[in-house]
Amino acid sequence: MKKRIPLPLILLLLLSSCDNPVEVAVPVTDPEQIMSLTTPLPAPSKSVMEGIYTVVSGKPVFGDEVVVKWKGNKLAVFTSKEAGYAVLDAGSLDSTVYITGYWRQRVGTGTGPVSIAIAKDEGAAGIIKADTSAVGIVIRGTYGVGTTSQRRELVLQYLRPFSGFVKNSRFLVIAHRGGGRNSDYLGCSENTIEMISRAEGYGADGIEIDVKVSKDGVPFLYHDDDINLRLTQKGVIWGKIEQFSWPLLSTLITLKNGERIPSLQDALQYIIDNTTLRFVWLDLKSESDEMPLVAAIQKEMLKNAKAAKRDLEIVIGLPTEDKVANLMKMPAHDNIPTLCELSPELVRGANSLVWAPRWTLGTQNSIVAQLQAEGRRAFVWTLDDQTFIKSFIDEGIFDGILTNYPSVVAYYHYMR
Amino acid sequence: MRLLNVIILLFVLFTVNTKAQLSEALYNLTLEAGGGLSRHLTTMEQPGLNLTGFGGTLRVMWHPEHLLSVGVETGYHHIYSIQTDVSVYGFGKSTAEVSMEAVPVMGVLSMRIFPKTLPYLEVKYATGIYLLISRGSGFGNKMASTQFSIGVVGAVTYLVPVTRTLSLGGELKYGYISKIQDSDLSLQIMGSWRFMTW
Amino acid sequence: MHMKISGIVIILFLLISFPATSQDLELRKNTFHLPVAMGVGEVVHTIGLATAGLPEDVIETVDAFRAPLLAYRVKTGLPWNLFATGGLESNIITWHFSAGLNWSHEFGELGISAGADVAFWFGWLDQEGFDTRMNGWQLYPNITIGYTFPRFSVSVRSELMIPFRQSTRIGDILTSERSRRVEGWSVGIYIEQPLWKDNYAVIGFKSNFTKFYYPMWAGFSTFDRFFYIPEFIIGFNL
Repeated sequence: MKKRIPLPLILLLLLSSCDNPVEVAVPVTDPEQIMSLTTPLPAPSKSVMEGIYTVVSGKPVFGDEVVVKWKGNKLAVFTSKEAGYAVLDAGSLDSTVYITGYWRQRVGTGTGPVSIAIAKDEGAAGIIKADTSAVGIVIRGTYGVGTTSQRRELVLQYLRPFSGFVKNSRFLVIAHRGGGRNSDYLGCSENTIEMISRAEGYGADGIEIDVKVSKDGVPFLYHDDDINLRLTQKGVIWGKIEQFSWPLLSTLITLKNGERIPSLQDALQYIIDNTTLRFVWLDLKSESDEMPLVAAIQKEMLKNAKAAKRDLEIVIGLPTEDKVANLMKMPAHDNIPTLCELSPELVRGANSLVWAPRWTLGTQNSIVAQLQAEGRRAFVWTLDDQTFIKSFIDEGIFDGILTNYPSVVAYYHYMR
Repeated sequence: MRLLNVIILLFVLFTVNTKAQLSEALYNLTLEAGGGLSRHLTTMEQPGLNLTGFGGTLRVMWHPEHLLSVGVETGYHHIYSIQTDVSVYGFGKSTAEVSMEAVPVMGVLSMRIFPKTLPYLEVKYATGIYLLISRGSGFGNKMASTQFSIGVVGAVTYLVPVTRTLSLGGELKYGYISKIQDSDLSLQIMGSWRFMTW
Repeated sequence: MHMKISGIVIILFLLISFPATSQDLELRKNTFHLPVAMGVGEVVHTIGLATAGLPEDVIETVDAFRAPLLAYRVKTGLPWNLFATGGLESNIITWHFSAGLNWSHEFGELGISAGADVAFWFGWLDQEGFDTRMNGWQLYPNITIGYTFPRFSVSVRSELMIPFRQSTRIGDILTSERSRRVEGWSVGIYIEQPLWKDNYAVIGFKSNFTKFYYPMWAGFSTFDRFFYIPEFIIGFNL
């Protein structure tokens, strides 16, 4: 007797057999291309817009209050909901400030376009004139969800400026892997120049990038030990990435979102020339002693930054005692700017500028205060949980936080 | 035309009434070996890839009294090789040669199908690991790297007895290599030697 | 796409094995997944290995997650067409204990069962100085349909995953304590047939669609999205 498998069963198996369908829609922003007609706002105008705003309409995505802050050349909005933020362009036209861009919730996949404006009599006139007494700004417009054409009302009302503490603070929001991980689905790959170019819009003042070294001694940005499909598209070379020479790595590997692997030198030069980032943490990931190679590039790039009058620090991270030992072998190692993740004693031994303990050790206020009294700073890593971000900002005295959710750290910092 | 020949051959193979002669002993062990062509199936977009090469199999199977048999398998598969000109700023131009080979180490579960009419036709499901060997050269450097991947294999084997202990036939095998998310299809000539019965 | 092909291999395995001829096999007594009425006190055990295709996004470079899941399950017959189940699953860093009650009914060769398992699991992982521990309670309402062919059986089981209580600690810090609602579901197909004497082998393929897959607990701290996780299962009924 011939028997057949029920068709639904086959369909069930076939349908259930596909890759993880995580796709974050890229919203169409500024479909009428209004921004191309606007005039960029001068720096004094920009600062008038910054502050804390009440969300009058649009709470499902933006919560009750948002932070509005210029970061680099982007106007950023930070919320406390689902690691949410908006990255926007703004410019003036006919006494109106037009603002367009997109919002995104990083813990999930929520995203959509934002199209808002400030009318002349609702604050635009004051902004354009850079009149700092201008209060009562109201930002009105719409936001969408996904790529649907449906729009919802978004109204933000100016509540207050940033506190004096925030205005005088040198606190650093440091974004992991150059701005975000591949698992955050940002449309560009982690540890790339493309990611670095967006980091400020996500809320970062600084970035952490991972450094490997090719077989022929070229430091480059990459996190994992091997070439894999988490980080790269299918290609012809596989295996331990440090086993391959730079010419092959830089030409035969395509990163997840189509980019090439950047060399450390190119990435740092880009940061100097094209961003206002203030801090770069080089996380050493090589299995070899990369210290002489990385320190030479660091020295050259710090010189370039100084020549370009950039307020930029580049520090070499020391995650293990082996890396500290490698530093100690260097001539004039006391003068190499470093960040040490180990004990305060090793921080002093290496004369590191920054102590960076992991967050699970708690706020450690007394040790942080001791190191600050010695002229050092303390950053905590890698803090992603919203509750803990808030408590470290409220109760801790760290000088910076390394995070996968820079917008969340920025939100709680600017709310202070 | 070639397709028609294959269909006719398959039809003949499948309709031969072989009058099932299951082994007289209850249990036996066989050593099976084969070799043939291996074709890498990839979605990689890289012109000039050579995707065809040698594929070989070596396994030991235990055949109890029912339809199923179990065993362990290893082998060799050419995955791909390529020669390509690479030009890098500051390094100049060079011809790069890159290749990958795979060595599976897997547990196999095999099931005899149509046991009354075709006692020598089996389907196999195997799972285990692939050892992936990547090689590269160019700009005066030679490199090699190995890594492991989880793998899953499905195969159809047809073996016809030629002596009391020896059978000959072929195997069509599909292997999925998780690490590279690509697969390998091979057609091999197989021999099986029943070296122990009890 | 790749998993699709693996699915097809298993379907082929199934399809071409259907016309197999019959023999006097006690499938009903020796199968574990097949939902048939059991005699009171009758016991069947099964052990298996499940290899899961895990989302690289979540596990990144943590190899501990890649270990296959070793599973032991037992079921025993109760009166009124009921049967009780118990189980233990582990990938060394995670241990999952479950108990359940099911009711079954047969329509000729076709059997169905419905019930629920409740499970407690815990895991710990000390990597790069992060001493992470997590535990939770899960509920798995489930339904199984099975068919007995002359020489083997096929069973399809679908279940909901409800992690109704979870607690995470990193070092001495309690990082989260929460209750969740339905966070996923799964469907699995299991083929059972004898290997030697009355010892039955199981081949299975299970698709999980879930926001939380407990063997990967340490990687889920901040994500809030569904993942597809296929599992390949090989086992033996004892």
